[in-house]
Order: sequence, then structure tokens, then C-alpha cells
Amino acid sequence: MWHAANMGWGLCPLLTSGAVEALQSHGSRALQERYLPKLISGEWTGTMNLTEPQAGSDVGALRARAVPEGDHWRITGQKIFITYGDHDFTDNIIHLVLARTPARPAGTKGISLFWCPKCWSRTMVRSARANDVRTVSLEHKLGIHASPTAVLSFGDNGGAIGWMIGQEIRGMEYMFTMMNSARLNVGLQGIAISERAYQQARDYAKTRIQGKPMTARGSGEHPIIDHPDVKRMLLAIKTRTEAARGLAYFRRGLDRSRPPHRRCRGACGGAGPGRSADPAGQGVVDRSWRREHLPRRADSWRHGFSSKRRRCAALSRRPHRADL
Amino acid sequence: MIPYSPPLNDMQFALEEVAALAEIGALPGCEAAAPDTVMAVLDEAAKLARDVLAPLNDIGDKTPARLENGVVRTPPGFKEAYRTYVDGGWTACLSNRSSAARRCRPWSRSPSPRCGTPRIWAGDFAHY
Repeated sequence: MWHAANMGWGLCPLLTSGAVEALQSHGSRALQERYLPKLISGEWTGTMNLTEPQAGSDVGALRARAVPEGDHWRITGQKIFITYGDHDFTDNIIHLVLARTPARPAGTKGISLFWCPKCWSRTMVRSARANDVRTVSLEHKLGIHASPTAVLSFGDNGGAIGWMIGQEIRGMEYMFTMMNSARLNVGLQGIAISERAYQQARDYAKTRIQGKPMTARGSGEHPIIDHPDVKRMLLAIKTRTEAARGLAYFRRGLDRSRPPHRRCRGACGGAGPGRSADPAGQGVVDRSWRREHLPRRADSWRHGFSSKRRRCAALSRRPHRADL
Repeated sequence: MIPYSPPLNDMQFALEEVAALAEIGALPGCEAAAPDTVMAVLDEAAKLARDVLAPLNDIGDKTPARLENGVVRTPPGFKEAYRTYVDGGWTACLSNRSSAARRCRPWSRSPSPRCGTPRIWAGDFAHY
């Protein structure tokens, strides 16, 4: 419901939930005890830093580096497409960052996972100092404008301080916990968008007066929902949405009984609702609706899904940039 | 503003008829996931969706998040909506596993680490 109501806003809790799962599954007990409550209480939020300009589908090509320094690491590199990479909801943000440690092999095998706060101090209190993480710019996307998709630069001034999660070189495995969470959630997002698309299409079809249906007798004004083909499209959206909802809820019930890293072996509900937003667009996009956001938003979302399906190994919403 | 009406009836149907909510609620330790309780939670989540989040949807599209002097400003009202979400205790949907998580939920004293409180369980569905 929250994503259907406002997907741009809903992405923030979605990312935090993925970060929480990753920390819960792989973070040390000390890490969990100290920082999880802040994430779960909503005092901080989480992000997922994987993509780099040259490392999208091919995550193994990433160049971000982490070098040890005392009990922590210094991280340098640039990350792009970071959903809610910076915002003003909370004082602090926890970035989960993939980076390569010294003398580790190229490709996905040499990657470790770090958590890197926007602000830090010894006790990570509110009066924390800023970490060496800079928001370079925000992407101009086709849709989901409310959600800030950031380009983040780590370590412009010597290296952002971060801590390793779990063991070295197992970063991809750990990140997949977060990714699986995001994949399932993006599948569910499809249902949310599909539902919203349906509601808007239905409401519009009820009020838009145009033409005379084949079955109508006499004269008079007819809303386009009376046309059999429009009705067929609306019913198609509705049935696909509800079928996907049933599948997703059923899956979710099963998934809850598994540990997070075993969940979500198939992101359910993704492609179906993506398709079902199509007739919604078709049915309602006429001159008065062309400026409306929904078709673009569905497109933006679907791009993220197909991209993910294609590479199977990356993050949730890879935005469709307006300049591509 | 384009209204949004949370599809509670459809959700209830999918939960009860497809996801077998009653059976889940009957499992040991999952008593809190009883259908009535879950629907009551979803009712509350629907209010957040309909009254707080949906009105901001259009604003968010027309007033994108922007970067000003190195600081990101989210659209008007988004920060307050996040506060409403946090104050409502909904962040607990983020986790139902770790002891640290349970401790920071003063209202949660569920004996079951698996199903947690109904709010957490239902919260999974509240998002979408």
C-alpha cells in the first residue's frame, strides 16, 4: 500500500530493510548490537552501494578500494545509482559498500562488503563528524523523481572510514542477502504499481465520455468503460494484479520461515504486473493524461526490473536515465 | 491529487484464501498473526498510505529531490511523512529477527523470533 501510494517515498524503507537483513545475517554481534537498533528504530537509514560507472551488470569490474587502517578501513571510489544515497529524513545514513581489498584478485571473487556511515565518531552519536563521503550529483530519471538517486564519491580527502562486514572477499555473497531482499521487494512493488495503475485507469475510464459502444442502444453519453475492449483491458489488469498478489503473499508466508539468505529464489510478481501496467497506460494515456506520471513511472520501474533480471546480480532500481 | 484507495478487500482475500493466513496464525508462536489482528494492522497501514503518502505522490513528482550546496533536499512533506512513519512504530517492519531489533521495540514482547508481532508480520504486506 505504501509503495502504491508513493513509491518515491517507499524506496527509503525498502533499502533500509535490505541493509538490516544484510547486517543481521552477516555482521558481527558487536556491530549488530551497536548499530542495528539505530537502523531499525528509523533513526538512520541504509543504502546499497554496488554500481560504478564502469561496473554495472559486470560488478566484478568495480574499482572501489579499501585499505586497512587500525580497526577500520579507508574506502575510496565512486558509486552511482545510489537510491536515497543522501537525503534529509535522518541525520545519518549507513552505506553498505562493495570494495576490493589490497592484493585481492580481479572479478567478483576479490570483493568485500563494508559499512560506511555518512557521519561517524567514536560513539557514533548525533554530534558526529562527517565521513569522507560526498554527494556529487543526483540522477535525472524518467520517473520516481521524488527519490534521490545519488552519485557518491568516497574518499576524496584520504578515504572514507568504514568497517568490514563478515569476512574478507565474501562481499558479493553478503550483498546478495540485501539484493535478494530488494529483488523480492521490487517484485512486490510491481503489484503496488499495477494496483495503482488499475485504479487510475478504472477511474478515468468511468469518467471519460467518448464514442458509442457497439452494444449501446439509442443516443446518450457513454463513458469509455462501456466499450468492451476497454473493459477487457481493465479486467486484464485486475486479474493479473490479483494473481500476482496471491502468488506474492503466498511466497512471502513461506519465505518468512527461512533465514534471509535462503529466501527469494525467484522474485515473484515482477514481470506480470509490469505487463499489466501496459494496458493501463494504453487505456488512459490520451491527451489529458499524457503528462501524468504513471506510465513513465511504470516504465522506470520496469526498466529496473528487466535490468536486474538480465544481470541477475545487481541492485534493485537501476534508474533509466533521461539522457541515455 | 489523484486519490488512492488501499485495496484492503483484495489483500484480505489473498491473505486468507491464498496465503492461508488462518493456518499460519494457528502455528505455535504465531498466534499474533491471527487474521483479525493482521487486518487491523493493515487497516492502520492503509491510513498512512491514503492520508499521508498518497497526497505526497504528486508533489514528489513535480518537486523532485534536489542537491543544494552538497545537501540533498527531498520534496516538501517527505521528511514529515518519514517522521510519521517512524513515530507510528512502522520501522519495526524492517526486522523481526535479532535481539537488538526486539529490544528497540518497546511494544514488542513476542516470544517467537520467527513470526514476531502481528504488526511486523502484517508490515510485510503493508508496504505493497
